Amino acid sequence: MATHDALRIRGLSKTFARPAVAGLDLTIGAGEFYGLLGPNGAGKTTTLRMVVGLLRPDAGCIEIFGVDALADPIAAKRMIAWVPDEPLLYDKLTPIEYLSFIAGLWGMDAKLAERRAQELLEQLDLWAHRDERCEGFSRGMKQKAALAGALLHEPKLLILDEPLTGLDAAIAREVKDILLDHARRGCTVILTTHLLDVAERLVDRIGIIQSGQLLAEGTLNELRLKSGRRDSTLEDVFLHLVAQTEPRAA
Amino acid sequence: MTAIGSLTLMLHQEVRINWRMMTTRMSHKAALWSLIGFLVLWHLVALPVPFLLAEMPPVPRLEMLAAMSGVGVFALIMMLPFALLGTVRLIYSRGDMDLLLSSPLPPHAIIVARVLAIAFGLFAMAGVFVLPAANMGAFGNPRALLAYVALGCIALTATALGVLIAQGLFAALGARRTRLIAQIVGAMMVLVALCLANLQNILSAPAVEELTQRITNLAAHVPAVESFVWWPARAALGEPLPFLVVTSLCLGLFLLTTYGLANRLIANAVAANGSAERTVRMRSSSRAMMSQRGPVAVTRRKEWLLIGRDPWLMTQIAQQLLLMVPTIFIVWKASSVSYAWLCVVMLAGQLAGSLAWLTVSTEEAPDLLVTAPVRRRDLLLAKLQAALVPSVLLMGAPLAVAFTLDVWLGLTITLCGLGCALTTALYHVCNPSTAKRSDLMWRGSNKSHSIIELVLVLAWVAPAALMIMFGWLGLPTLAVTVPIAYLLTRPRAGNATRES
Repeated sequence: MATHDALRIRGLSKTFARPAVAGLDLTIGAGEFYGLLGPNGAGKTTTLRMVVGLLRPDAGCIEIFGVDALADPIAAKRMIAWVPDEPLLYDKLTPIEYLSFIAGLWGMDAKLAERRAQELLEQLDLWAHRDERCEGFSRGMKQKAALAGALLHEPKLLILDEPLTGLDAAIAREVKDILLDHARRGCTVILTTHLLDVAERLVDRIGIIQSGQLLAEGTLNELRLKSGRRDSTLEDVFLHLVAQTEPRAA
Repeated sequence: MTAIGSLTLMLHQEVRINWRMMTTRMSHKAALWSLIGFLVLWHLVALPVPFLLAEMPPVPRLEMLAAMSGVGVFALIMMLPFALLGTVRLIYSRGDMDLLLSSPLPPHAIIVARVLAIAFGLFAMAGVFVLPAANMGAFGNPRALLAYVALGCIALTATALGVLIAQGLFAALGARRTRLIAQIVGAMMVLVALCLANLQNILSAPAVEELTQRITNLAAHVPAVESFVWWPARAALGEPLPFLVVTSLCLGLFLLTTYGLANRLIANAVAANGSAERTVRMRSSSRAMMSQRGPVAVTRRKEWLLIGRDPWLMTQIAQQLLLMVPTIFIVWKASSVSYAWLCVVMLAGQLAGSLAWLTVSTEEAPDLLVTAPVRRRDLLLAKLQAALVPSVLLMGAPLAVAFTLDVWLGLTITLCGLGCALTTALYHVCNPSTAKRSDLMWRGSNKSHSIIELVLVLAWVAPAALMIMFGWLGLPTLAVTVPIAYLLTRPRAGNATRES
């Protein structure tokens, strides 16, 4: 049986008032923990929103585990989970009701969904709050509930946009542990973050995107070599690479 | 900053914010010209007032005082629900309260300015209709300008009473229930005021006659002209002593209430903000939801849970429906019982439209639905069902009664009611917008939503009326309604649609 890359993007473009993504090529292998980094407005979120089907690209193709996400979005979406920085929750639902709703949307078996929901809520310390409405939750609890929703249907590709924004250290640690655990179990994880120390410790491979194009890609060591800065932190490497290509005023 | 300076700053801010809130649906210039145009038109309408006043036969003083007092009490009743709701909004509006209370402004100035803004809103709301007549009347009788003072006094009194009622509710019911109960009390007050205003239209001719007779009989027990009961009316007529006393009393009541209760209002605002974050524990409904199969079923159930758990929303919908009660009575009296059934068609359309708008346009997690492996049409079908099922269930009892009265009447109301509910719901499903739940009354910022919904309702009420009037001969009028409904419910370019 042929093995497919988790994500294969070719010539992806999207223009709003100005080009947000400009002919992006990107390949992420199955089981990888991939960090997509870039300055504000580089096109990270736009790229991911096109991958999960929230935006339609102007040009290019997106394949998810060999499935053309533009031609067969339903089949592609079955394998994906999306966690944006603002949790996708319903304030008036309890976490367990929210997970039941997700289970219904992804067509999960009710018994399996119930078992998975309990496992996840216990793992994320939300089981004691399972019958409380989300409106009373802190931001961290909401983010954890949203993460539980994303992991419920055991996605093959988990895409997270700034998932650690606004979380306290303890909850951020919990979230990172869970992401690492899923990556170890074979789930492909794509993450955008501005917390470069987090990316440095978590991800296998890093892609740096700027002006809608891939600027550099590789492991941290490969990026160090590319930037000519051995023993530097990711922050140094990132700032150096971005500064080199930053458009300068004439 | 001095207290006066703080109050001026806050008042300026309040007026600016309220004006911008009122004009969110049009540009500042357009809003200003609309207001000026309206005032000019209203002054033109009021042109004959000085002539009418000059030709009016002299009215006995007691009758004049009674009539003026009646108008004043009616204005007070009309303003009171708005004052109550304004105060409740003041308590619950989290927006900038934290910022203002953490600023070095005196808290009393903040509260007085906010309450004064409520009073000014009431004054302006009634003033745009009443004061042009006073202005025109002043050409023959300058005392007509006293209407400004009278209206101001009524607005201040209504606001003070609204603050007192809101505080009473807060003390008795606590933070969580006050808003809901205030909504219900406010809606009931509006309903009572509307019914009172339409009493002559609602009651049958003999009943009106009997009421008139009773009022005439009451006249025998009415206090004499010198009584203090008539002082407000005498103040409005410009008698110096009553004028001084009554205006002082109104102002005193307002200042006492506002300054006296400022600390309580602040404490309540803080308590209300805390209560929003309080944990609401539900009896576990997880099993019931887990047993739901498929995206359509879970989405439908999700919509019902979200609507059912938002009491504010429920009262808003109930309020919209209750406001139709006077219309039902008027139609009943003006035509016959049969035509009053047309209101069932209107109610079905309005309820289905409200629910469909809520389910489609105020979706809290649209990205979740778009990223789910579910076809868009399945989700929209679920939302359509979520809007239609309650509407149809609510129509059930009236329809059963209609069928027992007359089979044709039952068939007509069923056909047109279902058509009306289906098309108004379908319109919102096919033309989604993005809005907040609190914008239910005006269907968000898209003005066309309310207008098209109204046209759709009328497009079904008209054939229903003709079918009641002419029997089966009225059926062909549906041939006009159906194409209209089709054209209006079609997805239109320009309405914000989400990509999927």
